[in-house]
Amino acid sequence: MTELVLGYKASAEQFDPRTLVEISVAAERHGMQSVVVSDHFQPWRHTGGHAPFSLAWLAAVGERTSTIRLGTSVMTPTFRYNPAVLAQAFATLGCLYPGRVMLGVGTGEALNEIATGFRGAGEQDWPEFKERFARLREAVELMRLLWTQERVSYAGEYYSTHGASIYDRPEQPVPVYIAAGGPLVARYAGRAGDGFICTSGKGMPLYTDTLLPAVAEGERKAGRTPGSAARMIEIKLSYDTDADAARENTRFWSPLALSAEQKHSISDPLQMEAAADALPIDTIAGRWIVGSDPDDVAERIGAYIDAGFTELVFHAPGPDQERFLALFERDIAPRLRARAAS
Amino acid sequence: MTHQQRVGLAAMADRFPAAELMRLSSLAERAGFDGTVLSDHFQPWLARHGHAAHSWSLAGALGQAGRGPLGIAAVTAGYRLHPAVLAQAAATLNDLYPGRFWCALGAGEALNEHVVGQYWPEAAERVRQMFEALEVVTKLFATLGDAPGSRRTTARHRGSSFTVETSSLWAENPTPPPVLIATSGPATARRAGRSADGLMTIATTPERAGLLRERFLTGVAEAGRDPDTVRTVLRLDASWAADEETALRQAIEEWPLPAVRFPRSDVRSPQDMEQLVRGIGAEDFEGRMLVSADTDAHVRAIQAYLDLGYDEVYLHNAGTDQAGWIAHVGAEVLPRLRLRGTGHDSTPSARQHAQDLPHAPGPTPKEQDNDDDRTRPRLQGLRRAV
Repeated sequence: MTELVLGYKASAEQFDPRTLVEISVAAERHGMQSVVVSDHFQPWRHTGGHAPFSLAWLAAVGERTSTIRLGTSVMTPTFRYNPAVLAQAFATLGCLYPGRVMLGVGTGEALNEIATGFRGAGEQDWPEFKERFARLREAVELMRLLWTQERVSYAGEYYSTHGASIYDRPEQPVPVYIAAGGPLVARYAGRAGDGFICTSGKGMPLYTDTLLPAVAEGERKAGRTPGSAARMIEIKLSYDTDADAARENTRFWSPLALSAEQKHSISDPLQMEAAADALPIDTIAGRWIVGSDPDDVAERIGAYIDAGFTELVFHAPGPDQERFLALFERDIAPRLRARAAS
Repeated sequence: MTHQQRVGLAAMADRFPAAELMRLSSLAERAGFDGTVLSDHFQPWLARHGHAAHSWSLAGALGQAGRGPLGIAAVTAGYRLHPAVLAQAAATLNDLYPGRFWCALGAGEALNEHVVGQYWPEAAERVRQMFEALEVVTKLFATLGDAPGSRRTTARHRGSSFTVETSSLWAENPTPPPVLIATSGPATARRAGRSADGLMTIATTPERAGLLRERFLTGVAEAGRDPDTVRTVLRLDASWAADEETALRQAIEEWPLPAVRFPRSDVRSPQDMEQLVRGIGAEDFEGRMLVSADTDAHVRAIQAYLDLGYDEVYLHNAGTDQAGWIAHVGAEVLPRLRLRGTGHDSTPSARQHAQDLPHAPGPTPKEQDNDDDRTRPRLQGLRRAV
């Protein structure tokens, strides 16, 4: 069976980039096998928010670590970046840190793309899902062409290259993980992705009845071996031996509890923050696995292992990430590994 | 404060793979080079070079490996990279490596920018766009507050090339990184003096480098800016080897570009460039790039640019044995250079130059240069060997 991978979500929103490098170095020391980072131009939250440039940050972590896998979860390759340039960037990272780099991609959020004036300032001309998804498919196709072929002339609906080659690229193309919140993109992840990414806390039926079957269907339709696409999930975990701390730590992340519609349509961090802070703590904590009992917490996480996820990436909400990493290594990781092996 | 002069390494991302650049930068730092500047390419100039690592990612790694100043030059806004994203990338490197990171904006080259399949404008428009990008970057940097991680305001921009909707730069370091203008044109240099944090150029001759620096400082003076707040930076290509034959051979085989006597910023492909450098010989390097096994000649050449007042000189050697050359420079060249600010020299500072400037002849405001040309001998009669 597939080996269980335990990883760490580096909260680029919450910590300044220097501090976050140090935390990520600690994550490797505490046994985490991957570190993934978001890629935002603006944070969800205005006060105390951060939004570093992920490409430079990943290289900084790569240089300080030796085994941990590095990647994005997730980056939008279709608006403020040109996919050809991202293909070059990830190829360079893949050369610097062979076998350690992955690229997690998604269809994008207005907050991060409107700021760079995508298609008409003031008009808020944020394309509908259909176009965002079409752009993503095209971007993934183009990046893979650039990683495997030379002098690529590509004439897509959204992107084109003229005789473009990427001169420094790793022997193996960088694995592309595709983030999906619904079955359509999940099927695409199964068809075309080296991995599938989703986030926890939306009710187990979504995963077991909708998303994971869609990934499997995508694999089947593309004639791929079942399980070809890694099943990755970002799990929001607020574990602390102090039960109150575990609960209160989630407060910084109130914007996550906003509806998908709000997240996609609000483009100003201050508005986003105001909307999020209006939510009660129960709603905020409701998206997290909150707990102080390791058996209980491992049991709740274990449901995702049972559902078929193979890569669990943990996002901890509190200010003391090293404490979380140490507690996780001591209390949670061994229980999860035992469960996966049984 | 007058900047202390520094001599650093030009790490050519268009010539060497990422891991090799990491190694060379570390070797250079140990050998006494003070800082590294990375080139920024999507493709190499020549197909034979075969490398073009992504500079912004690589800079993130280089900063961890070394301790010295770290720059990327020249980067182009628009085409491959929106200036707001460029500002974010620079701000993140400035957070990771406070006080060490800088970059220089250039007008761009088709070689690197055409890949994304957009219209490639004429040179004057490219220069205009470069200054618009500088304005965008400056506006975003101005959103940073006085305290770490704070924000003073928001920025927005609507120009003919770029749009930025209301947003801030979510960075920590309240002191933004220096953003220079990279140019070889005197009119652009003067314009840069009015708003950029510095001037970067690639050396052709000391006369031309001196003129560019003077025009830049004229712009600084015209804008009433403090010349001590700006810097002038130069990349100096050369071919040194232990014997003359090798020095010439490696110049021709590895770095013939300075000998190309026509503009190359409209050239789109490394394969085309290969055709354009065919037939270049020893005489073509005269007055363009020093090719010599004589260490003294190299010391004199570098010193000539330092004596002009350039604050930072980054060295690039044509040969493939970069490690051997770095060791040679560390042992034989760097100890012999006289650097301002190190206690035993009298090179004129930017302030002294600026004080002389009111009487210096400057270009008329109408003067314009295309600035797409690091190679054309625009100033006839100044083409002599260093």
